[in-house]
Amino acid sequence: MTTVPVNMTKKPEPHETYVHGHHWRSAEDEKDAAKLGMWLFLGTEALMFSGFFCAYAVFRMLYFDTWHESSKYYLNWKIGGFNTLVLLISSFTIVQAIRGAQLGRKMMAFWYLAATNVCALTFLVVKLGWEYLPKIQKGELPGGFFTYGHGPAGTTHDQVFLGIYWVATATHGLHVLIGVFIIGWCMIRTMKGHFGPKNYMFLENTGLYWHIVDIIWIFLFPMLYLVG
Amino acid sequence: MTEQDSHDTPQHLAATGDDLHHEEMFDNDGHFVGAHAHAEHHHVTPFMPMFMTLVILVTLTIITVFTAEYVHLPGFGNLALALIIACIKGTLVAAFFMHLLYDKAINTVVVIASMFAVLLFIVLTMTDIGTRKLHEPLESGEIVVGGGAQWVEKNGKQVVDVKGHYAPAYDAAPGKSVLDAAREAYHAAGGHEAAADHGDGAASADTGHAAEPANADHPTEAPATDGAHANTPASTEPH
Amino acid sequence: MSADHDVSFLKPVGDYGQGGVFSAQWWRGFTTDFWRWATTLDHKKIGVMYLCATLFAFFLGGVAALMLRAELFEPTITQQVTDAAGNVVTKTTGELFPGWQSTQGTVTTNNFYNRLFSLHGTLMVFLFIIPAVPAAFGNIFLPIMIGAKDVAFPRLNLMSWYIYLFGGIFAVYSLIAGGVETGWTFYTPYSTSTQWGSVTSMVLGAFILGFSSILTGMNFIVTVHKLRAPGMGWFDMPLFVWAAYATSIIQVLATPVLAITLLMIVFERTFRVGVFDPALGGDPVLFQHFFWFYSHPAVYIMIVPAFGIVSELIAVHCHKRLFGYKAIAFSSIGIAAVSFLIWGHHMFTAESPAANVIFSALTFLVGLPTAIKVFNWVATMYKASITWNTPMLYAMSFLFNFTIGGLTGPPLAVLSTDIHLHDTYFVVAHFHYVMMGGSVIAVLGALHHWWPKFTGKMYNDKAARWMAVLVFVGFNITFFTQFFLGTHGMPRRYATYVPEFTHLHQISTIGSWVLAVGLFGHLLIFAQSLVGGRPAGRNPWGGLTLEWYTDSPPIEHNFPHEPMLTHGPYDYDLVVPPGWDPADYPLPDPETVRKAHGH
Ligand code: HEM
Ligand SMILES: [Cu+2]
Repeated sequence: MTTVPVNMTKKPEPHETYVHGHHWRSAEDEKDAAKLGMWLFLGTEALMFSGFFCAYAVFRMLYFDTWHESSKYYLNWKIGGFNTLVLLISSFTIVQAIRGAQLGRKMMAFWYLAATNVCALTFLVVKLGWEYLPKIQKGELPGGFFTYGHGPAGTTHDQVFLGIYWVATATHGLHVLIGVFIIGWCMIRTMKGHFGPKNYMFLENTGLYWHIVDIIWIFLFPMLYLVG
Repeated sequence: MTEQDSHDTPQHLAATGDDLHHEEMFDNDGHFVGAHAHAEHHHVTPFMPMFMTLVILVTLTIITVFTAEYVHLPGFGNLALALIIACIKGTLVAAFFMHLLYDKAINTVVVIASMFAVLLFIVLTMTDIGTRKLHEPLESGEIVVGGGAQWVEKNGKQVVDVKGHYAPAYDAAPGKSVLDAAREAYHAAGGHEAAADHGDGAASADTGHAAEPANADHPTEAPATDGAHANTPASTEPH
Repeated sequence: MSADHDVSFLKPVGDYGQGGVFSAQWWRGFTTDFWRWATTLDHKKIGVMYLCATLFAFFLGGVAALMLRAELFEPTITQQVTDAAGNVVTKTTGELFPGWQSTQGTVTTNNFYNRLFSLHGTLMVFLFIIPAVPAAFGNIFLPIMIGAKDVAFPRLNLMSWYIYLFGGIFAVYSLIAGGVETGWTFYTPYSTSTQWGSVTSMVLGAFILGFSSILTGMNFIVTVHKLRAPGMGWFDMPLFVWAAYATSIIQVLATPVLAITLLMIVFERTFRVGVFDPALGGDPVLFQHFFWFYSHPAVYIMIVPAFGIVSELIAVHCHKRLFGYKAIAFSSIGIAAVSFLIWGHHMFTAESPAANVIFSALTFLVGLPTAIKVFNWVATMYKASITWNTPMLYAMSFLFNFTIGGLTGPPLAVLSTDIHLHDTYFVVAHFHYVMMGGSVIAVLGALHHWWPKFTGKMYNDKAARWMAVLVFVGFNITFFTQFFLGTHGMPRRYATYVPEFTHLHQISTIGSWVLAVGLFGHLLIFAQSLVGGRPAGRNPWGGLTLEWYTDSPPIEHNFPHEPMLTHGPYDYDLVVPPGWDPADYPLPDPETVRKAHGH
């Protein structure tokens, strides 16, 4: 084996010595593969949510007028709009975290990740505290558990609307929650020096995941809150 | 993993040995940066384009909210506008934040294929359900178990009768469209503002609002078809 | 490369001592190997584990099928008869399985029959055919065939295996906890309203299995894109790889919709969301759209890898360049694309007439790529020197059965005929001809084709040929009769029938016994081969694809050095197969070959 003269001024961080998995020909290939795999996964996410979108589209078509009223009645666009902004900002901060890793600035990556997680938690708190809790108290629950006596439509349409609202936003919320944990893990790995200019794949894929969560919300928001 | 690591380095270095230069293995500070430095050209995410993307996204959000709340377009106009803006926003996030613009084309192919599948799913399903009334006129809200529902009186209440099963349904006068009943109920409740004070459903039930769902009393009651299906072969064909 | 990677991947490493199974040392050795397998990242080991599990599911599903056929041997008839003493009594004949009392109520013979066919369907579809080819054979052979050391994401691969196990446990649990009566299609409102059996856990099981399928698909797509050996372009890939690639596309794009569909059922059952419940304003037909958006493409997840297998079998055992390589490759992709457009043909009696017309028209499109494949295979066999061994017999069996199955699709896609044939035994016969006669027969062919490669042992080919004939004959007796039953109006999913159908049903049941004998025979032959088979050598059939270049069974990292591609996968007229003596394998004059290929 060729010996390389090493005159390191300090112990290299994990990301500096990483080569690549044994079955890859180059780090470049490994990186491309990880990214392609991630995009395929994002495709499956989009298709999974398409079930909600499809159900929404069908009932929106059938119950065009009543859903207009239901949305205005049950949902507050200000809360939804606030959460939209929070998610958009968090998308930007995670991009900056990746930039930090690419530039080799560990603390920049760390703090931007922290900011992202603050946004994510804000989203969850607003969602739970200002939307879910009051709804549960009032009985504005999905379908069969709907006990709130007189909606604007007063028909089963309310129940389907709330049904789709609950399953779609709860599934999305679950994705946000998972995101919080992954980003938290990224923060730990950043501090351990796992990410650097040559190796930030995990961070970048986390970013991709976070962006798809954002994109799904970008669609859910007008569909549910801005039906008017 | 560890069992497999040992063999591959010598071969690999041998293959690229020609163009190994020490300068490239260490950065200016003398830090070891790895043997593959020369092979990779990383795209460093720029700041300004990303920041501008954020600004545009926020602007678009404000525009959607504004148009949805204060501008009233006819028919599907508002919905279409909101969805178009959402598509633009999604595309921006994908192109800039998610780097599609700077990445290998195959990733974009994956996105387009998935979006195509999503569209197919939604459009073809809507084609079915949206064209039902060409064959059998269906008002909104008339999807009921087994189809062909009628209004009948049962226990002093108007309910939907479907071939002998009573689907839990809202109270409304026979012959009145569902939408009319809904509207009436809505305005009877004092419209948007008055209805916002909706703490207790019991009070409103007493006042006999036309719009109270009959199954509000039995929120977990199973649909009327249970008994009919439980012991037959599972060939459940809605007609 | 260190030496312990140069040995067969099947070779045990534990120290078993001399004391036999009852010594503590043997168990220590066993534990070592057990953990090595349980935590392995080696695609071949994962593939072998998948193979065992899927074949076990096939066995369970097969037992259920035999029971179904046995119940149908005689119609259940309840009559008033006068007994010897002159009393009028009610007498029931022809019920094989008696009912019983369960905690949830009386389980009648009919209920039991419903549970059996639901069990049969779910096991065969979700636990056997869908993972059998991609996850078992794909895992073992796809990386070797493209000259890679492993799949792109080995850890994900192991994870998908455990997800599969977990989902399988859920499914088996639901059987013990009461079973389901909804059929494998889980149609609403029955599946959402029944309080009977254990629909929720079965649906969750299928949901989990879906994730395993998605992960395998993602892994293969990336593997094919990124890990082909140097020199292997897209059109140098074996057709099995093309087929696995097309299948993976369907898996990745369709399975998430199954996931959300099944999740919606769980939501409906637990939170009563109402999307599929008309009483709450929902629409049960919407469920059928959700379900078939996945499940029609899923039938291609089952058959497209089988197409890949058949391409390999025919090329290798005809020792001939495949006719129309690109046509076969592209038709796989074409099928993947078209499969997303035609799900509505399962709903002709439920959806709107306008949608009927669209879906019916689109359905005929899929006949094109399938026919292209069949014609190309037949053209390959034309004037070839065919070796009539077991794999080749299975390839022929596939061609025959699949053609019947394929040709009975169009009558179902025609609206006017489908109104009569829908939910009859005609449909049952149709999909068994494609799924059993096609996919399962191809799996058996693949087992016989690659058995020497991944076990290193030959089997008794003569005995296996006889069993292949039994399977073929048994299968056709069982299912051909069902076309007649269907056209005469026998509905599917009933435990009994009018006495006029008795003869046809009895022929069908007898056929199922012949089929079972054939399959059992194969099991014995394989067992014998494992114990006493002679070593297979590298290339027993004379194949040219990369798997025939490595040892049998392959070494841990597949190849001692990264292979470099020097010829195409089917260049039988240009290259002597690896390990074969050129004297035994006269190549044609290069000049003729050049002319024939028009260079
Ligand atoms: C030539 C291509 C094919 C056409 C035109 C076709 C057409 C159809 C149609 C119209 C039906 C619905 C019948 C009904 O329920 O009334 C059907 C059912 C079915 N087909 Fe095919 N088919 C084709 C190939 C295949 C293949 C290759 C497979 C699987 C490997 C397959 C598997 C099935 C299954 C499983 C069902 C029944 C599902 C159920 O209701 O449980 N078909 N086919
Ligand atoms: Cu189909």
